[in-house]
Amino acid sequence: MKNHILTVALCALGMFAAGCDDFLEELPQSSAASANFYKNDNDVKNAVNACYANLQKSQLYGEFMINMAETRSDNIEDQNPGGNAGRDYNIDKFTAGADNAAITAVWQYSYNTIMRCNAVIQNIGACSVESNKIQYEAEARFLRALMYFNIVRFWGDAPLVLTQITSEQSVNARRDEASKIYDAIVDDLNFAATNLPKSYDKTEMGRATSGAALALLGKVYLTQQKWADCKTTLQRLMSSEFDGVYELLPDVAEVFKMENKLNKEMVFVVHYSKVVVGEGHNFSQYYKNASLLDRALRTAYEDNDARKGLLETISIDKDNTPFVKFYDTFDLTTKNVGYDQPVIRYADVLLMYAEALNEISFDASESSEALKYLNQVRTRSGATAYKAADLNSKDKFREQLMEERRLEFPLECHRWFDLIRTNTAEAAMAKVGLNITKNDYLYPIPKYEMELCPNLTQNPGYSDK
Amino acid sequence: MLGAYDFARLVYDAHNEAYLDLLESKNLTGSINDDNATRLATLGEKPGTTNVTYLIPEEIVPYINGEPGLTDTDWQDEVFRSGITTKHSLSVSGGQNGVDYFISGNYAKEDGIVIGSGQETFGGRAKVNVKYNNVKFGANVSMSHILYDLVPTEDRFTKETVVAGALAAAPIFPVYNEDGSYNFDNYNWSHKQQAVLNPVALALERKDRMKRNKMMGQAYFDWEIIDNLHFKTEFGATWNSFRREIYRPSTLPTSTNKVPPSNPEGTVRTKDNFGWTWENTLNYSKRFNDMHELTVVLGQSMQRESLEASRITGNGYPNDLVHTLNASTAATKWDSSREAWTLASFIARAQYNFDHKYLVSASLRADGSSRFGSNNKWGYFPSASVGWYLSEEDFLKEQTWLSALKIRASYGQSGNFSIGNYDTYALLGTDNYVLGTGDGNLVPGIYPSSIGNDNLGWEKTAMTNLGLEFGVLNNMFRLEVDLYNSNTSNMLLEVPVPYISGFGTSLQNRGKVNNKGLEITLSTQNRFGDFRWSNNFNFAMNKNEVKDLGTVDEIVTVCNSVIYYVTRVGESIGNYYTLVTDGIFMNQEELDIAADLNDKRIAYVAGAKVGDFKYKDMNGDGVINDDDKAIVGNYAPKFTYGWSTQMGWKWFDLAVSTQGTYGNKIANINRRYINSMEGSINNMADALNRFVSVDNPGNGQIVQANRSATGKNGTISTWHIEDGSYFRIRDITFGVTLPKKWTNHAGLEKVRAYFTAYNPFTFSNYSGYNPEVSQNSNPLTPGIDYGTYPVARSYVFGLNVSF
Repeated sequence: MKNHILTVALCALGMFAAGCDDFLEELPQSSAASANFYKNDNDVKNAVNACYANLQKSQLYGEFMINMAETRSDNIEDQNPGGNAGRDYNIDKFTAGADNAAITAVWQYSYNTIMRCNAVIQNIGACSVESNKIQYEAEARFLRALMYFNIVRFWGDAPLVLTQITSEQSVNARRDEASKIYDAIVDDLNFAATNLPKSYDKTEMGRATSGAALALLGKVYLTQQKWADCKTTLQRLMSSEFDGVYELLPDVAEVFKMENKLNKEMVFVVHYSKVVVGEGHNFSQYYKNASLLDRALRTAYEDNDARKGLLETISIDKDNTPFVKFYDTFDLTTKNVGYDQPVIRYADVLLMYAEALNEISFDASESSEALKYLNQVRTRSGATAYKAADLNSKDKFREQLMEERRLEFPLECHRWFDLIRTNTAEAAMAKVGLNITKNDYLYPIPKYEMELCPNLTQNPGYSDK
Repeated sequence: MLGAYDFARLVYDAHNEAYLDLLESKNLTGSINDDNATRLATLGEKPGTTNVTYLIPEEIVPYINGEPGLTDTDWQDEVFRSGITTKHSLSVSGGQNGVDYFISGNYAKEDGIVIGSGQETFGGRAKVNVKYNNVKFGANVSMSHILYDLVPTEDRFTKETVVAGALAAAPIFPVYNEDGSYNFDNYNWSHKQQAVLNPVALALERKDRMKRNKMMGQAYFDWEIIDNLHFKTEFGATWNSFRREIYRPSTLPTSTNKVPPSNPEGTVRTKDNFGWTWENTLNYSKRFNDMHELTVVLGQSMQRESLEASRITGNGYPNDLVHTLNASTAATKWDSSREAWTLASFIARAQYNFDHKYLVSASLRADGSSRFGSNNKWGYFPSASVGWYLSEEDFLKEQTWLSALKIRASYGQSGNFSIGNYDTYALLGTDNYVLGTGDGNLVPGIYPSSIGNDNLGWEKTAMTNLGLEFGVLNNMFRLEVDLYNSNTSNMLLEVPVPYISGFGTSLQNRGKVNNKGLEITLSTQNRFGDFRWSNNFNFAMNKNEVKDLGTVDEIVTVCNSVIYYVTRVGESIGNYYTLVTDGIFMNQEELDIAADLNDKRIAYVAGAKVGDFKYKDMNGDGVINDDDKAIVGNYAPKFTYGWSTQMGWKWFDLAVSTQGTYGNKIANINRRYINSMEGSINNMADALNRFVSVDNPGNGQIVQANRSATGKNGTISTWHIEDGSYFRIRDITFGVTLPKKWTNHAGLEKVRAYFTAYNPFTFSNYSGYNPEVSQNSNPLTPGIDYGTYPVARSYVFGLNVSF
């Protein structure tokens, strides 16, 4: 009897042990595991969408990119040393250290976007439809190139990560030379330019197009001062190859109006919508402090220049006075506004082309092509055209072109990049009372990263930890 | 907190300082007597602009002019109240013939100490136990139904909470306007003053009701198979179901409708939590030859807990007549989730004692958790202990004064599995985009959001313990001392990883931590005739040291984006890591010394002005920056102690219990708002001692008022870290039991009336409401106070009657 009982008991325990492994298997029910993903075309498409989605965040084009690419420049003056514990003020006054929250966030989210793009590219084989395979890879490579272009311009040498890496591998990362990064960017953009469609259906508009890739490639060449390559690349956008795709809108105010989103002048934007839940800008990201705009910029426009009106402010209430340029009414349901953040416009393409032409060889005649395009952008807004006699040397032309860029693109994340690529940052910042050195051209590598990766070296002028 | 006149002066000083600083930075001249229009003109701003820091808000002008009898609202007074609590319970118990039962019902109603909050509980319990031959079984069920009237009280005022809001609200605004409607001027205040929603309106207008059903049940079956061998199976289940409905009416303003009516918003949240446990044990317990006693236990148990939650928020209600979501016209937030975890265990234990003098025991546990990686779900935890009852030894048995003397030693391992349910999986997150012309359409986006870890396993703690029990005079005095040393290894930590990997943290088993400590308990029991008195003192001291962190020497983590912690080898876990303040710059000479980098007496603080904080230069380089952060304290106390006492004399009894800590620090981050001298919201009375000018430096430790803080005044430093040591009298109970003679006459068995005071006194230097702040779930970032609910002092009168 005793043995019988004991046997039964042991058997019972044995049964429990066998069923145990199943019992201990709990799979996530409200989140999917990566192991089950990247299995078909739809999965890869969703993965590409997530790459775009990161750009909307306040840590990138939603807010902090504007701090790093506009506030730092002579366009914006931050007058609030106490706001956000001085985060934006320090960027403006060139006193930001490696622990600055905005600088760290842009680094973090740029590399996060790159990780998402790498995941798409590595799993592109899951697509069964050939055209999808090509398009999705091209989109991911375009976005990766955009991220690396920002990274190399902000920080200089930086780790070049083109495949998914483990956290252990990332610890050993070194800063790759800027030239190597530029090679990868050009490679990605060439692939994108060849393989992206020229346009999309109405419901898919907003995705990167081949025109966007060419325009960005042109900007990359311009930054590298490869004038001939820039000219041949941008020329394609102005030729019959892209007939009817892009144009300068006759009224500059129309370019930014909410009713005209994704118009023919917008080559690539970060898209938002105030009606769709979770896809707009919330109140704190709204350009509400127009008192920041540098006075010299406001007074630099001619009276007839319509662009001056874009920088006026509209008062929503006592505390919020956004710029006309990005003005949108709040949607009462989502409590958001939905203006798009332009990344590249056709006006930029024309001015870049003019710049490249001028650098290759200065043309003093009235029929100078560079002059023609400079004036095209200028007169569109109602300002008076330049005569060849006004700009009678390469240097003078370049100077006025830079000034025109300043008048055309405030708040579009171009000014700081323009200043450092032309080595005119010291002079421009001196005009607004800030004395900077060559070390200030680059931002510090975030302290968080410096501490985890022993092989990273800090940019000169910032404390090395 | 400041009264209205002092607050107005703080705002005045703060805005003037911002103006003077801005003039100085642009080499312009002006004075604090300039009116707003002049200030705008001097700084080249459009006339009529108001969203800048350097203008004087019109609302404070009458206060600066000293007009008497103006509004002075004490918001804390308005928001707190004394609440009444009633509790009743009735129980019936009895039994015969091997069956005993217990049935009870209870009711409680409690008004919260914050207006608009309260709770009502209905509950019941039934227990039955049956003994029949060599079989015992029983069941125990309890149910309660609880209704809550909730008011948001935890967290900062920026999240629309009532308690933090009452501290932030400006005393110059009244609660109600003259016509009786709520005053929302504080929400519409411009000039870069913070928008604070009228906390009284928030508490009373916002509707937040929660219903909770709680059921707990257990059933057991115990069979004595043969002599001394028991088989017991026990099954228990707990079920918690919550349903919460929140409605924010149109009578409260929102950021898009700063003057009501606004777009009302309603939310429904449900949560269902169900858990069951099943335990089977075989227990053999036998005495041999009257000398040896052996107990052997073999056990197996399984446990599962599942959680389901959902939530939906909608707005666009046409009016406030219907609050349920069927009246809303647009859903703005929706969420639903399901999770579960399981645990399986096996245990084998043997205990042996010889003549009640020598005790030995050993056990082994095997636990498997669903939370760990497929390679590492099981952990094995052995333990063993020995004990020696010296007082039972012949040579000591004679000593009648010695009632107990025992020494014991043990070693044991235990495991920790408190991580998320699915943290070992590499999970995907959603991040949507919008494409298309016109309003656009949503396109779904999916991306890898976490790094998986197939090898994640149990965190193990191995503890060695040495104990002594010493009792004299029939346990009139009894002392227990325990010394322990425990090492935790394979800690479950979210380790920071480089951002270039695309991720920020990775959950790994990493590191070793050592805890050693001492615990002492002294209890006394005395009797002098009719007077009985017992006491219990306890004291515990623990020292914690990080021994190893894998490949790094330290991990720096940040919480709430502002406060840093460091966990460093050789120091305690989760130390506060901040700048250290060193008074304030009293005059221009001190600023000049600081600017001279070769003069190391005062370190340079970028942007600091006279009246801003000075800091200790920790690395000696003459400049204050991030490298000057230092370990400034820890949430864990150096020691904790407590004392409780019970006294009785004839029919009266008195009990007191107290508790205290020493040496713990608290990061009172709320001071960023209410003690910042920025003047954007109300500040603590500390502001009266602030630096005003070189001739009036206050107490020399508090910065000057400045709406646009300069220097590093806004950075977290020791200014925000406070001593959290406290001594609290938890309760004092005084009771009277009517003499048995009287009660028996009335047919009652016992009648006792009592009066208890809960939390009557707390002694602490902490400036926040409650030094017992809740511990964060992340062990690397504990002890933050960002707006907490105060502890209520309550007085209870009660009556127990038994029949």
